Amino acid sequence: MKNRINIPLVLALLIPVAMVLFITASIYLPVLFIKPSQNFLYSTGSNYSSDFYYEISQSHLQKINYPSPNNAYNRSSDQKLLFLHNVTENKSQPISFDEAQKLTLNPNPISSDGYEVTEGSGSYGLFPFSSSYSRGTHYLKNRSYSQKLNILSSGNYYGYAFLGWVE
Amino acid sequence: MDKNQILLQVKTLVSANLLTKDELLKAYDEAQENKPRDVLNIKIGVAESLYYIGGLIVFIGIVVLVFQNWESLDTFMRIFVTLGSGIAAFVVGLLLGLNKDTDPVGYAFHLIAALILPLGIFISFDAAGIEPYSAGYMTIIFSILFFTYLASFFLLKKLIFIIFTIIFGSFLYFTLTNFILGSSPLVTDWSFNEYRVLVLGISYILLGYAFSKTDMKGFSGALYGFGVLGVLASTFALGGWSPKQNYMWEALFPGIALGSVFATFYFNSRAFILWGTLFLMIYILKITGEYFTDSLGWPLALVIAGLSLIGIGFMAFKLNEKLKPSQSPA
Repeated sequence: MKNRINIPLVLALLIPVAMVLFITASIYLPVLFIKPSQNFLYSTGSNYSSDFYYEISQSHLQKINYPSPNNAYNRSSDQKLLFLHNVTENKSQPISFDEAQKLTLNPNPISSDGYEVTEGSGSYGLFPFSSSYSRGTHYLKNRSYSQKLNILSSGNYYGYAFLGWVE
Repeated sequence: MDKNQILLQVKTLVSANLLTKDELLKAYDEAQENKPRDVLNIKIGVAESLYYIGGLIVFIGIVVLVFQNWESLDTFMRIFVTLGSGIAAFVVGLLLGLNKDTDPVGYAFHLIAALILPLGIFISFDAAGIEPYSAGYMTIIFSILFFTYLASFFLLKKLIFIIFTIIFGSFLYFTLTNFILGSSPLVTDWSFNEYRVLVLGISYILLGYAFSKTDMKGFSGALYGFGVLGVLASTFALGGWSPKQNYMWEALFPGIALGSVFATFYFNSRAFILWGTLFLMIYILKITGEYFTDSLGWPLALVIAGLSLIGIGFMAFKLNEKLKPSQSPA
């Protein structure tokens, strides 16, 4: 009788442990079982130091030159680069403008299978809610799935620009 | 009535099948649980307060010393002053605890140790070239502290270690979940921060309740206070604000707050009525501002909110009067 289980104590210890397990499951399990399939095209490099910008017109990539010099500084040092991101392998590959122009692109922020690319959200808040510095991280997500993307602009907050999903 | 007479009566009742073994043992256990024990004296006197204030001043002094002389101190000295002082304070606390007269002073040294040790470990990690502010290393640091204090409690049977075990355990819970969540957008999509606080609040209330039946009942008041604050603040936050409000949590909140007000009698703690009443008042102001200012206009909405607040205040006052004077002020 003296050693009977103190149920409130057991519950008090188990509830936070269950929460940790639930969070772990909600982050890692969808990545194991849900496989997004639509790749996307993005560019890096700032508009301020570039003499052109990219646009999707009639499902194809277009390069539009600014009518007058956008910046007096040396623009060629930070030209926009194009990357194709393979969501299955979570890898980005550089792609030339000519190759990118051949792709059929959907500029809608949400893919046809229901995913979108968003920035990481952990950089706000105070301890104990704050996480490590995450500005520039990007995630592929839907309502129940989120996976950190290994895109090449990570760490360069202003460098990344989503262009379109590859149809 | 002497003991032999009582035992004789017990035997008679047992023979007549009027008293079972379980009932007898239950009565024994209940008497043991209610027996007053002088293990934890929660009444902090002037002398004890000065010990703890002194401990805090020592901590502030060490922090200022390290950060004012950060550039002039070499790596060894930075670690020595922080981690070394923390370990030294911990050992001094243990040694002072060996003597009943010096035990309260020992608690002050344990306070110094608990404040300085995290800083010392952070600085040691930093000196080793490890980024101590990343979620992963913060999890390691708070794991070290949590298990150190948990082991200290089980080995040394000092109740003060339970306080630090709960504090560092709570930090470990947040840093570990921060580490798992990273910067995932699901943190905001699923309101993980609010739910983490809600879970910890429920856990604190349960811990307080579990402790109320043991010789650690001195901690129950504080645990109830922080627990109910966590539950009410998180469920209030889960309700959100128009146009992104969560109707389910907005509808549930008054029930939770009122439940908290009446739970004060069950848990025997005024923390429930205090926080419950306060959050009910905030909720009325919020709902008035969110839904009724456009339809009724500000002046009328304010009149209704004011009358509701008076009503809640009066209800809390009457309920508070019903509490026994001996009940916990926490």
